[in-house]
Amino acid sequence: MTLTLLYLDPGTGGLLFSVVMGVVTTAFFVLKGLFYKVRSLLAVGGARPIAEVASGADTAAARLVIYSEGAQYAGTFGPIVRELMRRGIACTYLSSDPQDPLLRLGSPLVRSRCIGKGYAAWGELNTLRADICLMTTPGLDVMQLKRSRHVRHYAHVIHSPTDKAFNRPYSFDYFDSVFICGPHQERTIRHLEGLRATPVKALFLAGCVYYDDMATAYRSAATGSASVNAKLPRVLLAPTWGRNGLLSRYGMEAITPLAQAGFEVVIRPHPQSRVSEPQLLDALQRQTRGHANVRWDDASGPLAEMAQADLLVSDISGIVFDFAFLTGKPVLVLEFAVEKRGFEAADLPYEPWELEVLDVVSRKITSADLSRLPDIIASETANHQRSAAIASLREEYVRHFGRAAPQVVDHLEALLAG
Amino acid sequence: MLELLWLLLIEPIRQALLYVLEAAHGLSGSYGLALVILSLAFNLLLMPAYHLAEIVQQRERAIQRRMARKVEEFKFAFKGQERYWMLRTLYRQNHYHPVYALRALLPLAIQIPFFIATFGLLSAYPPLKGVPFLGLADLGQPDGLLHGINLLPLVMTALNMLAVHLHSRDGTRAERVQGHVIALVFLVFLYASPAGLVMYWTINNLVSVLKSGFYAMRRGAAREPAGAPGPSWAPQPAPSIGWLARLHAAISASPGRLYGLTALALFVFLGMALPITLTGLEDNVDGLVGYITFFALCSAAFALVYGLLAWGAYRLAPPRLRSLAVYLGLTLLLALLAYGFGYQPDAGVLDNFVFANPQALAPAAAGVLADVLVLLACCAAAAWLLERHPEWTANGLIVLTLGSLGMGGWSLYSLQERITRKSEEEIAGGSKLFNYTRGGKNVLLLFVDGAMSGYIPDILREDPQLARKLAGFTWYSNVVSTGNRTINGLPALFGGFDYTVSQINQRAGDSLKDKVSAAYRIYVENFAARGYQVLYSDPFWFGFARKGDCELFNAQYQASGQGSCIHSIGKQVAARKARVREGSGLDLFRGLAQQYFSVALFKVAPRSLKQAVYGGGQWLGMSYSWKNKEDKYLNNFFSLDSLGELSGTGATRDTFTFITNELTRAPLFLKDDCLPDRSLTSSDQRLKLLMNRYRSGDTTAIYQTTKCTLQALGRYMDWFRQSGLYDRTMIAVASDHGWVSRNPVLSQLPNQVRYSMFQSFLLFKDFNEPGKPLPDLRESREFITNANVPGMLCQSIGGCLDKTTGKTITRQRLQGSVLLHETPWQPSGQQPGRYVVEALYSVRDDITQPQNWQVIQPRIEP
Repeated sequence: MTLTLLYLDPGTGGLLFSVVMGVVTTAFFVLKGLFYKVRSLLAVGGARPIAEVASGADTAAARLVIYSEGAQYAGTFGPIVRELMRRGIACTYLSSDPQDPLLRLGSPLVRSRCIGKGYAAWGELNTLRADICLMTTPGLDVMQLKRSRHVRHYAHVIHSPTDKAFNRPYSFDYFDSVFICGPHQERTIRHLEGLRATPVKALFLAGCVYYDDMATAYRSAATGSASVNAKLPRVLLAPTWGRNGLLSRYGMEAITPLAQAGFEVVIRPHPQSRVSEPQLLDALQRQTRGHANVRWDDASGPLAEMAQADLLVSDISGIVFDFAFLTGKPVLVLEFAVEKRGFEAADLPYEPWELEVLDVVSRKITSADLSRLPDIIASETANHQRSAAIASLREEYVRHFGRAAPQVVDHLEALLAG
Repeated sequence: MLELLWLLLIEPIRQALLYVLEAAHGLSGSYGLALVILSLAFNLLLMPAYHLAEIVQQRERAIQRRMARKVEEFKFAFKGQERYWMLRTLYRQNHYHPVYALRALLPLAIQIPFFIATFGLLSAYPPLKGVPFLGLADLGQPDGLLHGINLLPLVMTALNMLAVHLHSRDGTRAERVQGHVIALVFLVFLYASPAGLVMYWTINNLVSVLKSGFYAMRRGAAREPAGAPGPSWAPQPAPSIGWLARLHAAISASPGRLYGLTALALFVFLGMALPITLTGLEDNVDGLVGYITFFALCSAAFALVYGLLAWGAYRLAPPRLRSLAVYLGLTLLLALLAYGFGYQPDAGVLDNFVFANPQALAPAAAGVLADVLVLLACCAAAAWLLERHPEWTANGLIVLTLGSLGMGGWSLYSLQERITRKSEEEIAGGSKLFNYTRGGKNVLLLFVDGAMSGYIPDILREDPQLARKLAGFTWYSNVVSTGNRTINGLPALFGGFDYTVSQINQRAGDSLKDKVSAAYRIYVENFAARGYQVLYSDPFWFGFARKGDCELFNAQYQASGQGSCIHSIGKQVAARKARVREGSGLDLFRGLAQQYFSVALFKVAPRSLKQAVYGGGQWLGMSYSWKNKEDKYLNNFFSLDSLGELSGTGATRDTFTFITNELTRAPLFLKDDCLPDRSLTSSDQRLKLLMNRYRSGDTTAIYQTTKCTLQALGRYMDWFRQSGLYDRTMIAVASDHGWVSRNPVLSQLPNQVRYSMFQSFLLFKDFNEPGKPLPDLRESREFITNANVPGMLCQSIGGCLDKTTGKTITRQRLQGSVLLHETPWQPSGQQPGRYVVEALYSVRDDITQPQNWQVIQPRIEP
């Protein structure tokens, strides 16, 4: 028996095409997902514990798990872990970085382990067993990091004072709670929840934990420092990396006027610049050799230079807010065009907080201002109102400044009790 | 598979369309107008499907529009894996998945069978030939209106494109291009088609323009209000009827679990457990080696497909539809259980998948009413269970699934146990199953199930050589059997007159099985006692197993050296079967699996639908009857034909051999080489002569099969002669009963067909004096029965002592009349200690004379 060819009317013909396309798209999408999933599964088991600290608190340790992507978050998790230890609360600390100093605390209350990076880490975390899992990693249940069925509560701790508008989409959507710094972050998270009809998260106004250690360290750094040249301000040039970075955009055009004005200039490139754009840095370093008042700084922490500087020149780097909130000194920010696509900012009906308040914490300059930077710097260092405005902004948007960890642990305790 | 789909889906629609077309023609008197009416009716019928398609497409468009901005953004900002994660989350948050595009399949699936059926009907519909309509000269030919160029396809395409334009005005450019391309493809495709068909599609397209215009206007109106939110495609919640809302709420607590369990229980019960349990009732497991593996693999494959479909449907369906699916699934399951284990109409014996009394399945008004009530009760029970006791329901479904798995597993195990019995094992090539002695005496009883001697005169006329081949034999034309079935006729062939139905029923004893099996012991015990080597091959119903319980027999007699039992039918014939059968052994398995699935459907079908499922033996197009019968025929024909090859002369002492063949119970239309041919039907010219003679297809097949049986017997006798055994062998070829047919010997009886059930078969040849010439086959008019055969055989050893009765069986002439018994065919139809006599007759002297037959207990027809 043979089937005769069938005739389709326009509606059905279009429908047939939709179906065919749907099938193809679906198959492609499903196969792609399967490919990523299989890759994840195959990579499971790659984790090798490098630091295992025996403790008598195994059972309790499993209740609270802290996951850190690496040493760069020690400033956030260090104060929290120490506060937990101080209160006698056990936890498990997992890190993807074998160099993470928190892996070597040596406390019987902290069971620590390096779980490796990438698929090895995701494999372990996706099957984690815990009451609470605290992390700074965004994109839970969006990227490779999935919610484990055996974790009751996922908490995210925000590790910068900025609005979360320049995170990737859906960064916080699948957490149960978020430790936030101020009301601006609450506004954004609540707006996105409403827009996407995702479950309402618990938001804990705890402050920005990494300022806890930073504030203390800054105070001690500031105590022993003083500008080498009391007459001329010391300028810290600390840009971000990549195509939006000040150095890659303007290079010597930004450095030369400062150097020629006789300012003591310290250039502190973003750590990622050394990785991503070494040729640029090498070229600039060669060109600045002739200026005795220009120095390059690659020290691990920025605090010493921040303490000694009178002013920061930057771009969209996060150091702008750190510098302003820690030192209260003026900041010059090179105006830049913001690309919101691919960030949470694209879904916000308002300007992100860091753009809204940029005029409060800094003075925006354009490329045309570069040649007259010395005048602008002189004017800014003489402007004492800026410092008061920054202090007020910090008060409102970075709660519990310098003492956020106890706030975080208070809420963790309550969650553990619940 | 394609044929089945055609039969189930397309053919009914085609018939319906044909009916509408012809009815419209009857009303209008014009095929042109009839096509217009058909088109309008077709469109009216498909209106809901089109509406559904439109809604689905609008939903898809709306959701795509809603996500488009973000999709573009992600394509700009991300690539590779990161883009995939972002898009996946976007879809997730919009409760969307690319697989949802498949929702559009539903309306399409509804429409496609209609398209195929219509096209198939009209592309070559003979009545349209030469019919003019309006300006068209011939609806059966292309129109050629524009100086030989066909105008109608161009008009059709223009309308098609207009419809595309209206339909996709709101869609993407790609959709419009696709639509126009399709229109052009069909212009090419239909350009040279008959004008009637093109006219039909032109009207269809006109309706399509109107429909598309209507929807385009409606979409435009829906967008009118300024500032209104974007198109809301989400189905508006229907006003809830109280109990439906409650039901939905109850199911929504764990919809996935209930859905999964219901789907699983339905599959396991109906798709696996019931068919294999019914297969387990099959009394003949010949050729089923490997079937269990086949069934298990098939079940696994179907389970996978079914599981994926069920999962896909669940993922695609909105919550209310999921709840509805759970509710309907449970209702269906309850109905299946009610019908499967409840009342079943008595349609009589199912012989080779054909009911003896199919008229009992005819739907009646009371039956329809009862079905409606049962289904309503199932609806109510399902609602009550789901709403009040969802946990019970889930547990019940688990129990049903496990129970079904247990039931199916047990059936598989017992089937496997029967298939792999030692006696069922294939024998090595070249083995001699039957050994005779050249130094002593051989006694052979060849049992031909259901054979009738009434056809012998016609056979001898057609093949006169047979009389020579069967020289020394006497054929008994005036022979009857005391029973109408093997279970009641064969015991007398072993035990004589004390083993007729009446005699067995009169004898004390709690076990009919034991009373019947006692008959089979007489030859073994008596011939073995005189030094004979006794062999039974397929002693049907010994131990109440249809093919004979050889394991039981051998346990009792083999160790003591008294006798042995084997199964020989179907052994060593695989190669010969493979040469003549189409397809592979898997076809047999597949056919059998389909047949039993259809029997399962029959079992669980509502009373008023059973006849439709049975379909006069067609079983929804899944009938395996012919193939099954062919298989039975070939097994028996090749076994009978191979008897010479399977026989040897190695016996060192006298032999008594009992061989069964049931070729005559698988009558089919045959070619000259005695092989079945499915293309032969009763209207075939090649059968005209026989059909004229017997006026019945069944009787013709019986005649042909009996002739081939006799010819095969003749060849076996040749082997005896060539082996030098013929003279030293006493041979009886006898049957246990006859069969309903226009048996020529009973042609004078008004009740010819029914009484033919008792007209049996008997050929007998005694020991002969070596070297003495033998006369050709000759007829005896002696009134004789199957129960006389033991006496004829036992006479060779001076009589057989029946330890049960204490009597000695010897050859005696029949005196007076004989009682003829009708009973059910199977052990389960009898009472524990006695046969169930459904009718009783008697006959005496000359069986061709009506006055010699008497009804003692008439059969009560259901």
